[in-house]
Amino acid sequence: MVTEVVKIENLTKHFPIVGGILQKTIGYVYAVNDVTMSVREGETHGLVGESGSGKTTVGRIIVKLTNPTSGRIIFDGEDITRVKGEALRNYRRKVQMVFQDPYASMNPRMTVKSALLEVMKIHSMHKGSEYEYATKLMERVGMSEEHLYRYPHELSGGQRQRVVIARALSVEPKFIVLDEPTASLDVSVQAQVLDLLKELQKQYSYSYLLITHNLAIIKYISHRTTVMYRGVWVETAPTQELFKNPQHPYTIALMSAVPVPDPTLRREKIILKGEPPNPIEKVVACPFQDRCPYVMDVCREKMPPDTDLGSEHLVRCWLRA
Amino acid sequence: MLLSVRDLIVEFYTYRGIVHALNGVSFDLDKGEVLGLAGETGSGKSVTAFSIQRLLPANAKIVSGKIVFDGVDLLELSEEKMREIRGQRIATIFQDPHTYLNPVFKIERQFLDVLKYNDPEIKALENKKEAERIAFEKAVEMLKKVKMPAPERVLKMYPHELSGGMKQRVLLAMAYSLTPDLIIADEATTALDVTIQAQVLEIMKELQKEKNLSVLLITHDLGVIAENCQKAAIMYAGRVVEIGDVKKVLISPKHPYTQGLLKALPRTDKEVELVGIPGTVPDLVNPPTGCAFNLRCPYAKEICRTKVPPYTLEEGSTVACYLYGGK
Amino acid sequence: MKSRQTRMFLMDLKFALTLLRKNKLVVSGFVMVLFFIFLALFGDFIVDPNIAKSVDYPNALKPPSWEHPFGTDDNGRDIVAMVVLAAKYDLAIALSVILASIGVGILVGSVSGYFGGIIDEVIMRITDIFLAFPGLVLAMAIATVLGRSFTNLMLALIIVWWSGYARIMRGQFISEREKPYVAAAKILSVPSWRIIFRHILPNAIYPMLVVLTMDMGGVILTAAGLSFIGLGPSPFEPEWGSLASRGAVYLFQAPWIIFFPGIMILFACLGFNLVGDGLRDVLDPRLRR
Repeated sequence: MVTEVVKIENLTKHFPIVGGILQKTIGYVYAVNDVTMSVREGETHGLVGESGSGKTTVGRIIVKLTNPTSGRIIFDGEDITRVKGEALRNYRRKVQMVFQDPYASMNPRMTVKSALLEVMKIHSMHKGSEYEYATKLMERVGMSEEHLYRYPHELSGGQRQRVVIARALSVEPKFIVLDEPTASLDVSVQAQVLDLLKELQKQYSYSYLLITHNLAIIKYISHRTTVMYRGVWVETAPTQELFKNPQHPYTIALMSAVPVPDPTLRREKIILKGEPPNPIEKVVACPFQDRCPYVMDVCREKMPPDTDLGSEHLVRCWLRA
Repeated sequence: MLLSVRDLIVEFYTYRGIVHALNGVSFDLDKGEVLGLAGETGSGKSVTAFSIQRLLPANAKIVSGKIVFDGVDLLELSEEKMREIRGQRIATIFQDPHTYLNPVFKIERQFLDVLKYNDPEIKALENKKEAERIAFEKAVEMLKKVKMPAPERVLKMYPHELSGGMKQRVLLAMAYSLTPDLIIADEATTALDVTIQAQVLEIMKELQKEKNLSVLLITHDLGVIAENCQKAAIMYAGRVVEIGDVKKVLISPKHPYTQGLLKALPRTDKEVELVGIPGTVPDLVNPPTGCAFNLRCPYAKEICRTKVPPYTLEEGSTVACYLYGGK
Repeated sequence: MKSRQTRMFLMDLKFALTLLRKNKLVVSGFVMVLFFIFLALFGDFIVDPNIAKSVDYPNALKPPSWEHPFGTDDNGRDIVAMVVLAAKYDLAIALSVILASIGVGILVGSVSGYFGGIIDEVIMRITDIFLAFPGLVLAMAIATVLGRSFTNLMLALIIVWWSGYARIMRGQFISEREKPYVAAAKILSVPSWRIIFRHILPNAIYPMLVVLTMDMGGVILTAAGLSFIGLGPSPFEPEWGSLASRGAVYLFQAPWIIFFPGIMILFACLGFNLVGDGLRDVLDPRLRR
């Protein structure tokens, strides 16, 4: 029996644009338009999309840095969409987030030690043995006690991201949102961090929501994957199935566009026409209609229905409906 | 040989001390050839590009070396001559397109200025009106070539009205409109989404084929190199450690760093087990003696820690590593 | 392990000192500032503080001589003594105005910037009222209403000065609060007051140190200006501005009376400005990484 740690249902988020002398709302940024997905226990769920797809906003909504316009977030069977105060504190002991830029996500004027101890103090954890626990955390992410006394600028990029991971782990969460966790790292260091995340998951069965634009990372680390476009999920499937058998024209084009470091491989690329979407326009029908090579009349009129292709593969496209 | 860089050494003077950014970079680029220059942060790939254009910041100094372009050493040219070469013969496309477009002028003004001051034919015209008209026509034609929809309308727009991919295409059109011999693309598609990157790379490929241009494609993405280049050069800590045919370098890499890089790369085309390279890139204020990779190399020997390895030819690739050649 | 931190601090200090040494102007600025601080602390021991209150008409308006190197003023007081005694008062005004203003500025700006929305709107409109008046005119009005004294001069300057800092602090807080480290702290349930004071404030205040140092000179100048036009303390309390104002009366008979206090004001402003410049170099994180 699989248990779902996090489930989001029909999530939307529209940021108001204010303008004019009277600070009136003159429009909306339609960041997230309709996302439904779930993350199971001990699983990595990849959320992939290009800039403006709304993937990061979904992550920020889940950790409650921002409230959704509509939709629900269920954590461990409980609706936490509108929790506040003590309940929110409790929720944030179970849910954490790792950001893209480890340098920016650490206070530059705090040592690693004070950053870790602060968290324990706030949650009154490990009273009396905070320091020992901090050392243990550092070891867990492959660093040593000595690094506790460093400031962020004295660490390399990879080390910083390890510290950020350690800080997220310090509250002993069940679920971690990873927002482009390796995007600012070099390839040789990225592999170390990805393997660390994998290893931690194996040992402590954390559940991850991995937000990234990098399909190669998705393929390497995530069990299931949801593809987003213009704030709408367009396809979701177990990762292996998705790579073997992509169904949505956007997924297919995205996969073909990723450059592969094998010069002997000669593939015909699908070059999508058109520009990335403008988030100020409201999405009423298929979000991909402007760039889709197979666009039909119905795509411009109605949102495609959720089509179940079997073996947990769902797609939203009129071609497959 | 169109471009030949030899033993280029560049230093940056900072408050922390002297940063040894380039420590003897050498490579050749033939006419009509596309060379990929790959490397991680701080490997010196962008510094190489800036050195070729002689656009290094004031605190940098080219200590020694040669950059021979079409038979002339660029490092010995006067600033005036260099400006001519920069405008007409070597064009650079950078990572961040909006930094290179002035936000207060329409695209038309900027595009026509580029043509009026650099295009020899348009520059020679006496009649200002006539020059303007011809330049406008040429701009439209170039924008069509980079597959810009409605070029006349785009010319009347301000940079902020264009998306990142469109801005990069405008810059591409400007660069190619002067029919340069060499294009330097410095992480030109890194900031773009993959689907847009594919568009831009496709256009670059077509333009390159049409005019038989030489391209120096600088990127950290080995995939981009594999799909667009004939030759690949891998840089590490300010030195080219391996250079050769792209198939040889990426399929049967010789240098331990290239091998490590490929093993650390997650990929979409096949299942892989990733192996990261232990440690981090060296601090170029205090670079290690000998081979700069010796601290992270699984095969490091005594000699690697003391002497910089020379280049040897190994199965068609040129490698700087003591594992080879010393038989 | 603890010694590492001390070592780090020493390294930072050494780094800062090398940077400063590289710039001769900054060093001379430091020397000037240290000189004035020395005068402020030990002025009362160097010269007799009672000179300020004494009157010695036979010796009035004497030009510089061995006995009185800077000459004497219209009350026959030695100008060297007056100028030295004034250092304490002028620096005290500058320091207290700056500290009080930045204190108010931090309080108002941080609340406004961090919470935003309607709170921000209300606080900033009030701040705008203060900013809308020309500073010197407002200070003149306040000083006139309150009457002539040191404390009133200080009060007038604080009322004029804080609104600018509140604006800057608000801007700093707005830009800092969007950074991921603040989001990270929120997710870790760090309470708001702790995010404001422990996380954002240290990052927001450092760039301000430069402005604050440079403004020390500004306050000295404004305070001197106010007392010059007669809104400062009484003539029996030594202050550079009021000394200079006495000198203006005797500009042609005894130019030394206005000259030497003027020189002091000039060097104090210059010194603080140069030090501020040097601090900017030291604090610029781009030079560090």
